[in-house]
This record gives sequence, C-alpha cells and structure tokens, in this order.
Amino acid sequence: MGNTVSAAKGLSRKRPRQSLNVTAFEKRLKDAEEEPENSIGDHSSLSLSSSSSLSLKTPFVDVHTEKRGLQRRVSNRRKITEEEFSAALSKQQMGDVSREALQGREVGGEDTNLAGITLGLSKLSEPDVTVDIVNCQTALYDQHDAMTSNFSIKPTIMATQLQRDIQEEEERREEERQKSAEEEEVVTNMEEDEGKENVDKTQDVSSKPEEKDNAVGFQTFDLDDGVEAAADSQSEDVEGGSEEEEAAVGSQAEEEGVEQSPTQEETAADFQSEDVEGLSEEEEAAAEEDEGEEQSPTQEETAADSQSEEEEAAATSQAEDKDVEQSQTEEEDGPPENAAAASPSEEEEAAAGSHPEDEGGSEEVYQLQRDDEEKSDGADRQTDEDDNDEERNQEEERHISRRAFRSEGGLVLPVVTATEAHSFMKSKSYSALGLNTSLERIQNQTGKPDWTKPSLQHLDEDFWDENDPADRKNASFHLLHVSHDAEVSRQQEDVEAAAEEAGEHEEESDEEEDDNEDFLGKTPAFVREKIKFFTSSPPALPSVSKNLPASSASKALPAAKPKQARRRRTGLSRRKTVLPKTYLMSVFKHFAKTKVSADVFPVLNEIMDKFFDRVAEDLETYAAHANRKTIKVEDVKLLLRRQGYINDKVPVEVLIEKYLRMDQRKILIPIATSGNVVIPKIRK
Amino acid sequence: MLKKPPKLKSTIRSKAKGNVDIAAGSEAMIELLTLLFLNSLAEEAKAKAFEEKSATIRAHHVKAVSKKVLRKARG
Repeated sequence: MGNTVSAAKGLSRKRPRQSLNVTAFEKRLKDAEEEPENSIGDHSSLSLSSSSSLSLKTPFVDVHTEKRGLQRRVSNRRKITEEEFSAALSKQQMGDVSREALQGREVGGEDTNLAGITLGLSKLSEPDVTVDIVNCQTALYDQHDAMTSNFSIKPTIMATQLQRDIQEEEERREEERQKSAEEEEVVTNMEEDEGKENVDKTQDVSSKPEEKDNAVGFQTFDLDDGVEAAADSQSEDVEGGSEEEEAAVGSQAEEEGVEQSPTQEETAADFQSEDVEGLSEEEEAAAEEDEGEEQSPTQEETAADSQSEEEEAAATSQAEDKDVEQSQTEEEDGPPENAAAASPSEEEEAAAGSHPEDEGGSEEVYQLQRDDEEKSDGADRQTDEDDNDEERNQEEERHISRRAFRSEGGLVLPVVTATEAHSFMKSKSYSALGLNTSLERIQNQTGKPDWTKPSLQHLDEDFWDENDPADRKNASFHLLHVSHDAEVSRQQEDVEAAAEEAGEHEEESDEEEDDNEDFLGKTPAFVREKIKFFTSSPPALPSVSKNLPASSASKALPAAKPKQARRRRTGLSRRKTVLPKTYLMSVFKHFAKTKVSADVFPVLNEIMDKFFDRVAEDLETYAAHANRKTIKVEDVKLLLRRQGYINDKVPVEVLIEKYLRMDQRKILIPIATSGNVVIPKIRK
Repeated sequence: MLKKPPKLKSTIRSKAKGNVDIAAGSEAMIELLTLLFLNSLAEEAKAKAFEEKSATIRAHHVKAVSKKVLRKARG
C-alpha cells in the first residue's frame, strides 16, 4: 500500500509525480487486492498493474513496478501515509482548487474517492500522488477544455482574419503554383478572353512585384483567376500580388474555394475600394473563391464596411454569379452570397456582367492586378477591351476579394490582401481600388513596405474602418480617372519598385565600387605615367608619383611632341615609384597571404618610398662611418641587425635562405662544394 | 621575391645623399631588406584587416600600420 508513498518518499529516486500518481494509485489498488507485494517486485507490480482497476497501463507502470520492488516497509509507511495523506490531500486540494477551477469539483470528488481508496488501501502511496492524480486529471481536463474552447473561439472571432490572411497567402501561393501549372488549363477554362485579361490585370496588380511570369499565366486564367486575384488582391493588395494571382489562377482552374479565396479576397479588397463597381465584381470573385473557403464571411464583412457605398445592384446585376454577387452584396450589406461555389466561369460571367456596371473601378482594379505581372500584356489588353473587360475584371476581382474575405471569415485574407494592396498601392489606381476593397484590413495587417502601406490604406478604407475615408475618396477619384493609367502606373510602380530594389543593390555595390573606382581612376593615370616614366627614364621622384595622375591625364592626350614633353614632365613631375607596381603588389600579396585590394598600392608606394629613404640614409651613414664610399654587405647586415631581424641567435644566413632567390643566395652564402671543381665565388 | 626588383640599385642610389656605390652583394642584401620590410608590413596589415573582420587588405589597413612598421624598420 504505502509502497508508492514510501517509495516516493524513502527512495525518492524518481519523483515523477504524475507518473507516481498513476502508478501509485495503481499500486494502492493492487495493494488492496494483493498484499504481498513488496517481495514480488517487478513481477508483482506488473501483475498488479494489470489487474488494477485503473488499468493505468502506461509507462507509469514501470515506475510503479520499480518502486514496488524497492518498497519494503509497507506496513509502517501505510500508517504514516494515511495520516499524512489525508493532510496532504487536503492541502493539495486547496492548492489545486486555487489553480484550477475544475479541479475543485474534480478534486473533491476524486479526493473523496481517493481518500476512500487510500484509506482502504492504506494510502495511495502518497498524498501527493492522490492529489496529483486528482490534479492531473483536473489539469488535463482543464487543459482540454481550454484548448477546445480556444479552438472554438478562434474560428468565430473576426480576428480570425489573421488566419485568413495566412490562409490566403497560403492559398494564394498554392494557387499561384497551381496557376503556373495550370496556366494552360486555366486558359482553356477561361471562358472569356476578356475576362481573363481583366482577371490578369487584377492579378497583376495584386501580385505585381511577385510574379510577372505568372502574369502571363494569369492572363490566360482570365476571369477565373483574375476574379480571384482581384478579390484577393483587394483584400491583400500588395502582398499576394503574385501569390494571389497564382492562387487565383490555380484556384480557378483547380479549385476556386480555397485558393481563390485569398486571392479573391485580395482582389475583392482591391475592388472594394472602387465602391460602386467593385462590389459586384468582388462578390463574384469572392463567391467563386469562397466556394471552398470561409472568405465569404470575411469578405462580407470587409465588403460591408467598404462597400456600403457600393451598389448592391451592381452585384445583383451580375446575376451570372449569384454567389459572387451575394458575397459582394453581403459585404455591401446586400444579399449574402457565399454560395461561392461559383466556378471561375461564373465569376467571369459575373465579372462580365458586372463590368458594364463597374466601369471605373473594375478597370482600375483589373489594371492594378495586371500591372504586377504583365504590364505590357495588361496594357494591350486593356486597350483592347477597355471598359468592358476592365469593368468585369474589376468587378470580378472585387467579387473575389470580397468573397475571399467573407468566406474566409477574416482569415488569411488580411495578409494576402495586404500584400496585394501593396502592389496596388503603387499606382493611384491602387489607392482608388483600395478604398473599396476589403484589402484595407488586410493591408494594414500586412504592413508591407512603406509605399505599399499608403496604398493599402487607401484600399482598405472602404473595407476597413481603419483607413481614412479621405483615401476612399481619392481612390474613387483615381478609379474613375485612371483606367489605363492604372495599369501604366502600376506597371510603372512595378518598375519603380524593381528599380528601387535595384537601386538599393546598386547603392551597395556602388559604395564598394567607389573605392575601387577611385583607385582605378588613379591607377590608369598613374600607370600611364609610369610607362611614360620608364620610357623617358627620368630619375625617380616619389613626389612625382602623386602628381602623375594629374600630369598623366593631361599628357595622355598629346601625341608625339607632347610625348616628349610628357616624358620630361613625367620625369620631373612623377618620380618613378620606388618599386614597380607589379612587383610591389605581387610581393605584398605574397606576404599578405590574403586578398589585397588594389587600392593599397598608392599607400604602399608611399611607404616604400619612405622606407627606401631611410635605408639609403642609414646605409650611407654606415658606409661613411666605415670610411667607405661603397655600401657593402656588412653595412646592410648591420642595418638588419639594428632593425632586429638578425640576432646572435638568428644568423643572417637564415634570412637569406628564406627570402632571397638562389642567385642572390649564391652570392651571399658560399656554397660548400666537396672537392668539386666548381669553386663558389664568394663575393664580399 | 620571385622577381628581381627592377632598378632597386638606382633607386637606392638616387635616394642616397652622397654618391655611394652599392656592392653587388649588398644589392642582394638590400633586396632582403625590402622583402623583410614588406613582409612585416603585410603581416601587420593582415592582422589589422582581420581585426576589422575583413578578409581583404585595404588601403586604410595598410596605412594604419605603416607608421608603426616604418618606425620599427628605422635602425
């Protein structure tokens, strides 16, 4: 009985409270059943555990068995444990209760049970164990509840937008991938070329930065993808630009539900900004996308916010996609759509239908999308289709975006839309679109680059309360005005963005290059001077070297006559460097053993110049000191010694062997020949 | 090291205040001198560059160490 308790306390080898609890509990049960346990040890414990009513055949059993084997003073401990147990239980219960509400009741019930059991069993091993058991159970229970509750809450919460965003993004990505793969399919699916273009546009807008390649594919997708993209882009604007499109495309081709929703939402968000027209489109788009996703609810929300202005009628007019419309209308406060299951074709149709309704917005939205991916294509298409296509696309996109929002229930979309929104934001059109689209919300969340943010805000306005109404107005204006411009602007923005990026890179590289450039600039002149110098063979003047660049530049131009002049000048102005550049640099690099930038040469030159000055002076002094007019080897040796290179311990020969070439070595060090005819010349 | 520094002799001679001759062997020794000097210079510059976590020796590295090395090579 008290095995567990005693084991835990006495042995205290392992104190896996929880495990003990189980095992302990089992033990107690078993003990009650079978008293002779101590001696049995593992075997008994095993049997006990199996027989225990608790049937806690968990790893705990092992522990239990172990302890049981160790336990010996069962009887004694029982008594103690009983008393202590009750006390401990009470204490623990108190503590547990405070910790977990549930525990209270459980504990109470369990306690009594445990207590009863323990008493009968002469304590479950430990008060802790029993309490733990209770606690554990309660803990589990609580946790479980908490978890479940949490889960339940999430989906319901609007805040799930985040999820939506994530989902959207994911979806979009998926879509994108799918799109790429399915581009072809999409093309076929695309009912209307126009629709496709529109869709593409929207997609482009949204995913401008991301996928230009996809844009091509997107275009093929047309309505299906575009709508989705529009929806998504709207919602997320910048972010998912490419993603959305892909998603839109892929989703459309494959599944509109999941994938599309993000894109749709985005597009929807974008469209929403457009107010009037966007709604219908978005709804459609959203509807299409929402099929599989919860976006519709979210879209609705966003749509409702932003689209309050928008026309439900527009949505309704898009009878083609009832679902889509509904989704939009929902957003707009109109009829709930979320039928979403609308197929891409439906969206397209709806978009087409909505297009006429949504003139400005759709176009812009569409344009926006396209810009992202294919500026050229979009432009072409737009021009061709003009209003109709654009409108439809825009509408669709809005639909999609809206639906996405709604269907997703505020999940994922925000992120995606934000991204899309960003892309949109680039151009004015974006801003306009953003007004209506639910992207606002998403955009805000995504928090993309600065440039995107402002655009997003615009887009989000309609959709999200966060954005300022002013933006909406601006956006709406933009929408109206910018039809082609949107695309162009978008494209431009894309370019700009790219340029910005490139610029950034360039800047970095430039900085690095600056030094090189400077040096390079000098060297050529310098080299030129050098060459001239050598040809002219004027005396070397270190100071001249610095003047060389300037002089060389001027000299380089002239021809024959100037050549001579140059020579002189070079000779005068530029004293040959103490050492040739190549030689100097090669030696230095050899010694450095690491990369040496070329810009060290001038510095090196200067240093060598000074060095040679000193060396010459010293040597001269030494020679003069020795009343000689010739610098001899011993003079240099002396100098080396003074410099510290040579010691009594380090003979100069070592250095000679180390650094000098063989021919020089031969000169300096007499080579012993064993009786060879060759007699080394010893030079002194 | 592998090549013979061209015009080393004339360089020294030009620098020398008085008219001094340079013996043949001493020319080699002077070569040794320069090599040793460059070696220490490069080593110091390398250390300095590593200090700045740069694998490439740059001009400012060399400049920073030049004074110290020059002073050491004063004799």
